[in-house]
Amino acid sequence: MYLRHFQRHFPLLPGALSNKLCATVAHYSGDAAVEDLVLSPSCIERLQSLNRKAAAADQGGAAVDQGGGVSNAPPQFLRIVVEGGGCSGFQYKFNLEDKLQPDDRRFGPPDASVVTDEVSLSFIKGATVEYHTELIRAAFRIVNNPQSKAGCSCGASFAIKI
Amino acid sequence: VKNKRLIPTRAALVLTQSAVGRVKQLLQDKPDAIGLRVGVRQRGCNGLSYTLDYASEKKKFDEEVEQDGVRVIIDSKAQLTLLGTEMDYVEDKLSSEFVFNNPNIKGTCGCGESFSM
Repeated sequence: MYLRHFQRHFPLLPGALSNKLCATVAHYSGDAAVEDLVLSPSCIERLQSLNRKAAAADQGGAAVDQGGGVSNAPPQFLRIVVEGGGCSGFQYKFNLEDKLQPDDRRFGPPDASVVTDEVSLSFIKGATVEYHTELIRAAFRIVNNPQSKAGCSCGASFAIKI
Repeated sequence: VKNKRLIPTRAALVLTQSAVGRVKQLLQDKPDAIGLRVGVRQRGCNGLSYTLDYASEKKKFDEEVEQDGVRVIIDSKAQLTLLGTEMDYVEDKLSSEFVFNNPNIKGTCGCGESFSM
């Protein structure tokens, strides 16, 4: 399936080369794409506020009077993982972490970045990450995913275009 | 029998403290709403899903639940579905949402968005 996926992304590449690309998926840098993952303003704002809160909690009550002090804790980022499951085949998983893995790709400003690994990125390339707020719930979600054909109504899972 | 007191029936919908707080907060931003309206809608992969809206008026067959000063109106079509449900508000870093603990349902979708009776 990865092979087909890469062939679709690089339709001009001859088969052998796209096979090679597929084999070296971990080293693929993906610099050709303009925007692999779009972060909406709502997403950035939410991540920034989470990091501000974490920094404030980290400093504790003692340092409140200093104000604006820099926290020692590294800023947390939102990790997006695509895995099998959900009612439509694949599902998005969101996590807050502060440790980067070797094959991670990072998007967005340093204090509000979104991180995803290469394999997951291939399923969400071109999609938009947003923090959607409505009356009944507010949550991170992925919208406008060019790779998804049909989704669950809640947006947690999707079927891939083949 | 004199002085027969009305036995208080169980409320159709019970709100947890966190839900009460959240509803209060939501209604503060919207002074012209008299409460929140809870309903169900045919949607999702498992049949039904909950809807939440500002209520500007109480319709004829709507059920009203008042708890700690906040008003929640249950849509007339949703009363049988929601009977005995506990409405909770769960908040964490990644999401915050109202959760309905409904004793009447048979199953839910993996994400908890939709359910069947």
